[in-house]
Amino acid sequence: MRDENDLHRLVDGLLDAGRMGEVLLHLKTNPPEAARVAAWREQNELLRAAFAGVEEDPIPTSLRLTPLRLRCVSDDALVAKLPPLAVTSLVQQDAPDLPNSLDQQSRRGYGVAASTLALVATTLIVSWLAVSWLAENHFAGRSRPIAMAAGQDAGDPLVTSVVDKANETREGAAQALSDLPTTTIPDLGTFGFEFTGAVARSAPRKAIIFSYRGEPAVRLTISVSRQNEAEPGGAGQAGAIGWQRDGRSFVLAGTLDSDRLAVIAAYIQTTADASP
Amino acid sequence: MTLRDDLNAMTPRLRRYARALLSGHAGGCERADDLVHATFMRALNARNVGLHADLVIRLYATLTQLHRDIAAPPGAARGAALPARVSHGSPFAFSAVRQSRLTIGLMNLSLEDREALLLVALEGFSHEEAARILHVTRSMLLDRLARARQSLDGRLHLVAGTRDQPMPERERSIPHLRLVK
Repeated sequence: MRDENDLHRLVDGLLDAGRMGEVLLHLKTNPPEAARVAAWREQNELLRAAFAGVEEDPIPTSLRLTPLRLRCVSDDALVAKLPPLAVTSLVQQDAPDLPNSLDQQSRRGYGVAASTLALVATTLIVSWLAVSWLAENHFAGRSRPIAMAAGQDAGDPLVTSVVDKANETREGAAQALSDLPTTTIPDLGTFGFEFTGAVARSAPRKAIIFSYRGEPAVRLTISVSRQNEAEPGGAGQAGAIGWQRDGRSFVLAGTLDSDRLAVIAAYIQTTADASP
Repeated sequence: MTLRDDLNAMTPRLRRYARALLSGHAGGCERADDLVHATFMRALNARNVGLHADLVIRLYATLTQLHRDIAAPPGAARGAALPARVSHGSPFAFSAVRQSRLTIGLMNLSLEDREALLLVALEGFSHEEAARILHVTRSMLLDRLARARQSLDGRLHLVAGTRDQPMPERERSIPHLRLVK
């Protein structure tokens, strides 16, 4: 007794050997059924032939189950763009025991991440070094205030960090400061004067000049220089009062009457520090 | 092998099955790839998709179910293009006429019969495996397979003495088919 399902199993290659002989014998004696089996076999071949090209079609990106951004970066591009340090770190990211292609993609992803971090770190370091260099070598002579910072109080310790106003360069200031006398800034608040700044001058003589401002619109300056470079008695400045002390020469000048200037000069002489 | 590797390895087979399911439907290739993609997403989001043979069964079952979910209702527009290229260089190269008949034959099968035929004849699954994929008994699968083969026989005219006859006038008048070379 033939089972039609046996014919399907025969066509599909699923018939066991024990039944195979019996079915084949039946087909030999039954040409119409043999033709059906042949037709079904040809159906299978037609179907496989019709869709055989699908397996050869390139797989679209949407069906590749790996992160897109990992696939977009090739090793060659990384080597070409990254500095040696980053490339080294990329190689060092390779981990053992990752057997298949997906893990290789993952390793490549780690390499990309590490290289990116190395690149960012390198950029930050270079930027920091550049800013430091510029601050030290370029802006130092130009951007620092020529006079002392506004708001510096009178009575501060020795003046040592002023800039050469005549030259306005770092070298000129350093040279001027090297020969300047040191002194404290006289506090003239008692007389209603506010300290506004100090500058160093290399010409016509090396001196440090303290400036004050009083009300109404009164200006006062104290020039301090080494005694051997000073003009005695503050010569050359109308109404100025000069004196010498401990190897330093002081010249007090201002837009106020001579009597008041003399009082202030006397005050400075008694209160200014005696240290050279 | 990771799950992603297994899925990547399965891509060509699943695409073939999806295209065969969508034979004759407009935009069949793109829709087939969408089906495969959706199948992968389901598999990746599932907690346990099985390994090896179980994974293959589950992937085909998922794709089949997804196709059923999106299958156009009866009478919907069909047949903008043939579903696959004709492999003229293969040992099984066949004429464009028979290709058209095959496509039309697949289109005219019921969805259940088409699924059964494609899983067994095209994808090479055993009857037991195909029954698992379709969630039916083996006898029901064989019934569907028998119906599909009988229907396709009449369409392809492969029975002895009729295979080289010209296409019937009714089929030649179908205007939407074109051959993709």
